[in-house]
Amino acid sequence: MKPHEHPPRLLAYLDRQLSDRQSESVEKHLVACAECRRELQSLRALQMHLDEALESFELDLWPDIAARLPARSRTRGMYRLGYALLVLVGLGLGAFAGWTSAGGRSTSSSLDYLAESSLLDSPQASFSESYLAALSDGDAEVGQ
Amino acid sequence: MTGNERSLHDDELVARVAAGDETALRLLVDRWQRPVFAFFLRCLGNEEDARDLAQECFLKVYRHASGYEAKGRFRSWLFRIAGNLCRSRLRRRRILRWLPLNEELSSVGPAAPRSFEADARQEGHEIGRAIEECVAELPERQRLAFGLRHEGNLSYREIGKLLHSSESAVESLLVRATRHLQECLRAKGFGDDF
Repeated sequence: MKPHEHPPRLLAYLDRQLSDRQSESVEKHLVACAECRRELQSLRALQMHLDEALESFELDLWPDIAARLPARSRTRGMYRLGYALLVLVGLGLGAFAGWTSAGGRSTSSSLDYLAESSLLDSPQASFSESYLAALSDGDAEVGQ
Repeated sequence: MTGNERSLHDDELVARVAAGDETALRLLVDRWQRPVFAFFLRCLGNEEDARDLAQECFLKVYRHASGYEAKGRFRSWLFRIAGNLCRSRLRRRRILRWLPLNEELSSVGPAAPRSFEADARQEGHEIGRAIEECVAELPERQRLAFGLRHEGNLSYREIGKLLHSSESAVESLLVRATRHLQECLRAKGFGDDF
């Protein structure tokens, strides 16, 4: 059969993209043209198969989307900040401990001094009195 | 999620998303993930990229929900976002094509092999596999227009706006794409239907 000189807009008709008048014109043509009816049937079959092709695909995008939500990222950010602060505090304490054990009269050296001091052996002196005395001695020692 | 929430209109859900309601976003994802994913899969021809961009698309919905005008055209808005994302990815692939390839780049490059695990899972659905193979053969612009029309259900005018083309140019793209699919499927032995 000779192809149409001006093929009817079957796809646009099927996609409901034509005006009422244009649709009527296509429908009139379809009544008279078996070839176009077959073509329309073919287009419908294609659309149906396209719909069906991906239907059974297993799909759950939500867990990955939820993990990427900004609010959750903020929460994760807060945790990260908390961990960072903990690490900084830990490092600071470590550095302080290192400094105190390396030089000067440190808390531990004060305690060593206390241990060596006879003040602790004194039954008359309370612990607080002994400790204050030891600290003042220690200050005097550092100052020398 | 309650039955009432499930019956909410898309526009209402977007309004809730704009207020930061993640449950509403989840409902929109459940409702729209399949056509959005199908669009990206057909547009990009790669399952991994399709999943990645489908997620990105819904994240954009979340971020821009407050700018959505509730006129009952959520689908159109959603697929405009999807269309723009797909165009950007295709553009990126074109750029990568001109860069020296290394392993990292080639994994996102244009030569990414098609992965139709969907069809592999559907034993006996040979026509599904054939359709995806034929869609993959379409030129980028035809694939994009075809996906926006079929999965997005966008009008020719809306597709034209996205592609900076006239309605008649879009119609022409779609006619050519459809003709190619019919011929391709006939060549693969599915002549009875097409």
